[in-house]
Amino acid sequence: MRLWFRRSEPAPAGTQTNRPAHRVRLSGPRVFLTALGFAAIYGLIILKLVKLGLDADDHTAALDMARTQVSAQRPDILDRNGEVLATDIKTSSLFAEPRHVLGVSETIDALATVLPDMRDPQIRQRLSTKAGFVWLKREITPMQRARIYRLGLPGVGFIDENKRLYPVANLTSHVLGLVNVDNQGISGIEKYLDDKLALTEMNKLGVVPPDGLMPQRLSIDLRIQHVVRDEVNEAKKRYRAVAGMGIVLDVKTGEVLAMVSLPDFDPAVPKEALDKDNMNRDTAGVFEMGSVFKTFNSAMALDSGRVSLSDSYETRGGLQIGHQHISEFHGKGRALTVPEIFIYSSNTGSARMALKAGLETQHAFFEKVGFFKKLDTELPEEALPMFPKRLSEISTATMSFGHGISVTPMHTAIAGAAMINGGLLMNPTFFPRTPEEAMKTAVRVIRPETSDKMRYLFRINCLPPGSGTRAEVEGYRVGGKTGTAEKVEAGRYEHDKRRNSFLAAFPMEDPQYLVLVVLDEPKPDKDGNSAVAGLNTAPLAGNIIRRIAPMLGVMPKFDMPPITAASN
Amino acid sequence: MLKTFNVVLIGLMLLGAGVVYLMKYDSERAAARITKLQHRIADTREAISGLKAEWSLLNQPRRLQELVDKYHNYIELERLEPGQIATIDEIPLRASAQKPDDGKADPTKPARMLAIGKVGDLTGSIPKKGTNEQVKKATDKIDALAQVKGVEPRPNDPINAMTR
Repeated sequence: MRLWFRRSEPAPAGTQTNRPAHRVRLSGPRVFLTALGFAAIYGLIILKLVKLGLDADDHTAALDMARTQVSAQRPDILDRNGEVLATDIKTSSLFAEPRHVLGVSETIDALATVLPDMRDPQIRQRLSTKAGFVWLKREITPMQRARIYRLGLPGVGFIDENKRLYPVANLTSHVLGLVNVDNQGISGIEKYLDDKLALTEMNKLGVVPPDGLMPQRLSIDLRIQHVVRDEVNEAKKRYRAVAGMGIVLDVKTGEVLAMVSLPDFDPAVPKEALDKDNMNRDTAGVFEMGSVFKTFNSAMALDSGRVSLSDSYETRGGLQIGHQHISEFHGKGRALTVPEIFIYSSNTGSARMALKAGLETQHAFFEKVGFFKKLDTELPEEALPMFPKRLSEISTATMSFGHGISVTPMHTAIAGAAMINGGLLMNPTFFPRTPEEAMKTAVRVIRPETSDKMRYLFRINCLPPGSGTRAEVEGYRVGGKTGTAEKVEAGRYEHDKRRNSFLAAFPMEDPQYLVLVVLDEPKPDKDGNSAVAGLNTAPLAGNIIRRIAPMLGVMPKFDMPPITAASN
Repeated sequence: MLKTFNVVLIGLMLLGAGVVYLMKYDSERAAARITKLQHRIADTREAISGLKAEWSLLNQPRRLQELVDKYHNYIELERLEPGQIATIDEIPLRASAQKPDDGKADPTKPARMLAIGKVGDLTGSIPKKGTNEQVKKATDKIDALAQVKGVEPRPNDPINAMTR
């Protein structure tokens, strides 16, 4: 410092005599000029830096958007025992930044050595633009990625994406639903999780939890789901049905252990899901359930107090209401008691019971068990039941045996569970729930005594001469109700097109599980047999129970006392 | 005096700088190690989830059922029937325990035991019907049966493309 000062100061006379005075005077402006020159150069550099900093990298905007859009992370979905139903695997997608591509033809030629479909004129067109970012191919294999990487093409890059993998393929397709190519849930539980965990929003903000998302456990049991699908599929083939459905519920918690609707789709082939025939019939399809509704009719009539188990009703000659005639399907030609009406599935008897209980009683009961509103489950696919808007004797009479009202199979199953679990209606859920949690939201729809009578009716219907005898599985005390509904086509009932169902539960002395199966348009399996529910859906339900009861830990018992009716 | 003090201060300062430098270096190294470990954890996690996916792909109930059907001649697995399930209390007493005086029973051993000679009858296992000859025949058949399609994961399954 002192040196510099000494130099810049005008030299005191005598010390610098060898330096001419005019040179000292001149050096001031020179230094200044030089300094100015350097300042200008540095200034330019700084300006350039600022400019570079300001107008950012030209690819970032488009690329960043693509980056945040693609790699949505989703939680794994497990069944109730922890088996994987859906998980994310990493795949790569190939993109290009056309501005940085050197030679479109060369790039395409090089890429085509790995991916022949890069010769598509569309790809050429996309690369020839001046866009900042274009996708070339989504989801390439790690091998292809490595080979393209080794080509070292400028302007071509990869983005690692999460791809949803459903190891069980078709098995749970209607429960889980689907995700789109950006890994956003678009149907089923996947969509529900998107909404519940705000996955899409989180992904847009770029927030990804450090440890991934917690796996989501469902109430579905993979083994039971498989058995139900396997058996319904077999039955669908055997009876040449156009569709088949199967639901297994835990009647004490309302948990859905299995839900199958055939035909279904492979989640790896999303366009199959769009086919209307592959829709989820269990919660998004409404049907006239037919005689299965005699379950609800009997419960309603018995619970009203106006009808008792020992009452009997005339079934001869059917029933005339206005100019509508209700006739018998398996006519007995005599008066039948209430249990007989149930096991012989008498339409006339059921209609007379409903009329005895009253129009308003039936309406109020159906409202209570949820037949007039949408289901309350996690699935987004929920259909509104169809029912007459006005009370009339004829609609009350037909609704008593399940015609003139259309509900989803899930409505039927959960209401059926309420009839035998002591009278508590719960909302069906696809997530694990304890009986205590279920009790909090449960609504009482019938008295426990009426539920006991329903258990009795269910059980005797699976013993000779009941219509559901073929559903009985030795040792497991099965109970149930058949349903054979004629399908409506072009406004009238078709006699040879039926929708058969069977609502079963076991073990009947303390029901724990409910099984509902439906076959759409089953045909006789061999000539001479008829295609009634007792001959197809009843054995189907029996086959399912035979296989799932040991998995569910229900002990077979062979020395049970015969079931008796609770006194009225 | 002041000079010594200054020298000491300078010495301390140098020492402090040295220590801080070492600490900084250590922490940088630790940070690098943390990053590396985190990457490894992430990689391992990914590998685990990949293996889990593969596990559940191979354990699809449908696939297992198809395998059981395919190799039925060999492993002879049948569906469980209700009559085959019993509790431990329902297992009958050992024959010798019921007749303790036949001389062969050892009174010190517990009476409630499986009647080993007749396991088949008690547990309801599938009766052994095949002789060695038959088993051999069944093994030969397997090669032919292995041609049955639909059991292995499909060729375009994403799992095939996964890194191991």
